[in-house]
Amino acid sequence: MSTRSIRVLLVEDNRNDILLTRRAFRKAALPEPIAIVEDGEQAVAYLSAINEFADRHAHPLPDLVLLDLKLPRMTGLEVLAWLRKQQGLQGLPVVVLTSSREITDVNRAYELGANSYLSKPVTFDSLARIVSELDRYWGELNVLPEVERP
Amino acid sequence: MPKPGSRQSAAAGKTGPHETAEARASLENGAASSADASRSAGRRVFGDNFHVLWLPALLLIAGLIASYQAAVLHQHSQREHLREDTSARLEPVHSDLSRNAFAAAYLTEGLASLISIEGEPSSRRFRTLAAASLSHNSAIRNISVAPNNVISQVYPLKGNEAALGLRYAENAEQWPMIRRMMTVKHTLVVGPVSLVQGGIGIIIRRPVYAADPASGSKARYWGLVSTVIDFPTLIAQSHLSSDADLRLALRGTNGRGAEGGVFWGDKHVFDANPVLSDVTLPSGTWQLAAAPQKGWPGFHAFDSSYFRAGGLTTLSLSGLLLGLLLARSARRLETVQRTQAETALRDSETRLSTAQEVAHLGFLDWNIGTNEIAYSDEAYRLYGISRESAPPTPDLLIANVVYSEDRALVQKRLAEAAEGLSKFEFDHRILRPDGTVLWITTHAELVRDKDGNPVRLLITAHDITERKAAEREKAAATEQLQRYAERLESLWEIDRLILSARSTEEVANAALARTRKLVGWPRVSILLIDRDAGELVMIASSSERESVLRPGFRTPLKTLGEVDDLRRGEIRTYADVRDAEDWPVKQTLLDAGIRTLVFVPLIVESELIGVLGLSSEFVAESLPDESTEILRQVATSLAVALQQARLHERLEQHASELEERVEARTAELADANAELEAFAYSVAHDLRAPLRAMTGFSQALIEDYTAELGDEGVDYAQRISSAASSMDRLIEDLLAYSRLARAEIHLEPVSLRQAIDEALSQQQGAIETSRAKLKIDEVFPEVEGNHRTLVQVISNLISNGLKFVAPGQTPSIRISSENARGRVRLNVEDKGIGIDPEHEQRIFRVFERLHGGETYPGTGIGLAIVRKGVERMNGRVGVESQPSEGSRFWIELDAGKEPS
Repeated sequence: MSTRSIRVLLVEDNRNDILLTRRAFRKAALPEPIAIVEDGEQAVAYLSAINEFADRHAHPLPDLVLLDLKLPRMTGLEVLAWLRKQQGLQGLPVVVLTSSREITDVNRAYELGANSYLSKPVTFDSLARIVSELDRYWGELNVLPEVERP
Repeated sequence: MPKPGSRQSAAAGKTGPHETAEARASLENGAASSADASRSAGRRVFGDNFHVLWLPALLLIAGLIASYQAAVLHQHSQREHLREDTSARLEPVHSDLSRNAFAAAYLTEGLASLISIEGEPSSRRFRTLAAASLSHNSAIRNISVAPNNVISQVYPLKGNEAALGLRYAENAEQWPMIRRMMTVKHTLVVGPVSLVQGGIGIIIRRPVYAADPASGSKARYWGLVSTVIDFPTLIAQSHLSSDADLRLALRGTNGRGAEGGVFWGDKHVFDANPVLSDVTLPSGTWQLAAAPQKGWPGFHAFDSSYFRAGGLTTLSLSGLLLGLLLARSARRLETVQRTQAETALRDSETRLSTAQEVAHLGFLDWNIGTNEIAYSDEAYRLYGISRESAPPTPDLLIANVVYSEDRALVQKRLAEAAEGLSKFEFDHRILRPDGTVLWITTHAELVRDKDGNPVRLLITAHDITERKAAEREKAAATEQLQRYAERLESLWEIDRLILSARSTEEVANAALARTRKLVGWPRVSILLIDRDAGELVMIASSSERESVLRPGFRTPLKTLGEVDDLRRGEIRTYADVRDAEDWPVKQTLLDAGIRTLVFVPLIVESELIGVLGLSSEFVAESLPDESTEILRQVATSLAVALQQARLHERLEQHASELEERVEARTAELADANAELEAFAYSVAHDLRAPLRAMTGFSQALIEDYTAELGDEGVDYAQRISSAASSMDRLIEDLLAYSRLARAEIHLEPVSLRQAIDEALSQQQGAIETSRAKLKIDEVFPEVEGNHRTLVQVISNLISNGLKFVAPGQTPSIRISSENARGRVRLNVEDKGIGIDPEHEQRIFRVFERLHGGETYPGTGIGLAIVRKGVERMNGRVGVESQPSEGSRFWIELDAGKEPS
């Protein structure tokens, strides 16, 4: 296992998926995501440290954002577009994890600066494997950029 | 000499009465005996009484001279009369020639001006115009246009083929005249000449000057238009050949008048002191000569009966006088002189009467003092006055005989004469008791007494009715010619406007104003039949004044009543609208102030499409023939143009409707497509989320609660998970299929080898699991396709081959390709279970499955995706199979073109 596990912000509106993802993290013996938000606006609020997320100590910036695309109030693509325009947050790795395999979604996500695009597997085993791989890749192999903490 | 004189006198007195009696007797017995008597009397008195002889001799000579002059006068007047008559007979001849030449010239000029505006007409247009023009003039043989002096179009072509393509510059006979025409720059009459196409013709040529619109320069020489009059037809139509009494000849080739050569008739006529008249041509003149077949009457005064009768009378009188002289001697001289004077007068009257009779000259001797008129025989006849009653006085003559309208003129002239004007001459009409009106030319001469007072007015009256009629005819012909030319020009203009118009309104407005002017009616309208609405619609109108009936006015079709007459092309006239009974529009028309109405039918391809309506607020008589003809022609052109414009409009309307429909349908399709995409998106995201929950949580159950569930519980949870998984695959396949159907696929040369390799790696897991045997060719060609789609297609085919094998058997797949005529066929063969031939087509449809999901699990969409993908790449797909031996699936695509 890793010496330093990555801190993940999970942006996901489906409660079942949240539950299964958290379990996958546990199964992979990783610490659960540091925060889970259920819509696009909350994701923006968390990353901007405003409203209920104003306390940066209680709500620290993640190393990686796991982003669903189909979200209420503000779509994942909109969040991504916003993120890539924010001073200090541009380098934050974003992995899209969504049920869509539509090529238009895939292309659009990469255009907007997604670092990876993963299709949600229907079987739980696969999800656990993905989470484990994520940690191994982004936490151990990849050199993360320095994200400015306002 | 008183003594001998008195003696002789006595002798003469003795013998005189006897001699006189003898002379009288001989007069009664004949001229010969009278001459003998004169001679014997002369002999007896000659010796001693010479002066008695010379008086009768002088009388005789004077008498003979007078008789001779009477004869000459008679013959001269006879001859003048004949010449005048000949001249009158020539009038219609040269006016016919002239008219034909001018008609051709107007035609030529009309076409020339058209070309100068529009350039060379299309052959269809040229034919139409020429045919319309030629239908009025049978003497015209053909019309042709020659841009750059080369004939490019001829109408009619039949019989004139040889003229087509004629290069004037290479025709030695005609080139000089063409050069001359280019120099003088106006219409030139040429001929008669031998025509290139055979025959003899008169050619009317006109140079055409056209501005080049491209360069904007001023008009330059374009070429020429010529009209050929068939010379024999011209002669036949001009009354030239019909006059058997006259010898006729024409000269003035090329319009050179008297200087030109004789080209028709007997050239000797010109030497026979002929009556000459000029035939006016559009350029120059011809000279027409005429002489009687028998020649002019010659002067043979001594043979004339007038001379003989006059001579004998004089001779007798001379003899008589001689006798008297001999009898009464010198003292009777005064009496003799008086007799002589009386004789001269009588003789003069005889002479005059004779001349008058011959020349139809009436003579009136008006004694101013007594206010009485003495009429000559011919005057009685001329004025139709009865001899029974007293000769009419001047006042009565004017009141009863002179034509009412001319009375004032005659009175004025006579008053002028009475005031002392010595001579005058004027024309007036008379109305004879039989009702005929004659034109009379009157010459009058005033006779004064020795003090200069007017005593007599000597009037000669000559019947010139025929000459006047000829003059009128000539004027009428000229006027008709002018009207014809104007009409032709207007019709051309109307035709031009109609043909250049596009819409129905344009056509109508172009024609109406001009037509109205041409026929001189206050209002002309076009009413078209709207069959759908069952109405007659006024689409255009041209009017002197505002009217309540404007374009857009509609009336039920039954307004026209029975239209059989109009269908036959007959013009219908309502002379007085007030007389019409049971006519629905009667009151409307009367309210609009219309009294007379004329309908000219507009017919296209024997279908009545409407009428040209003429209306007037006055009750008019029927249309003049000329207007009728104009209206027919306008109606014909108008009907065709209207029909064309209508079709054109209808076509445009249909086109725009179609365009609208296509646009609407495209928008609908775009909407449907967008909806489908939204649907697919929803499916992709939302439909799969519950499936993930089902698999995820059933697996969590299996892993975390194995003991609690027991084997059966685990098995159930396993089933939930696997059912959810297969539904997820189904959704995935459906989405793939729908994506393939909707997405834009860009075709390009792609490597078949690469696609196969990628498909194999996609199926790597399944291949390993099944331990399939693969046999794949080394080399594959390029195909025209889309890489992504092609991989999907091949991957599905491989998956299919791996799956459908008999239980326990190892799959075996062979992949190969063939080239044939620009196409590439890729074969994927297996040694599987095969397919019954009757199912070979079904298997490519969505959800078609031949086997239960338990034996061969699958979504039933794999092969449908193959077919859709191949079709999107312009290819074909098929299968050849033997049940239980295996199948060969193939796809066929265009060979990839090498990028150049």
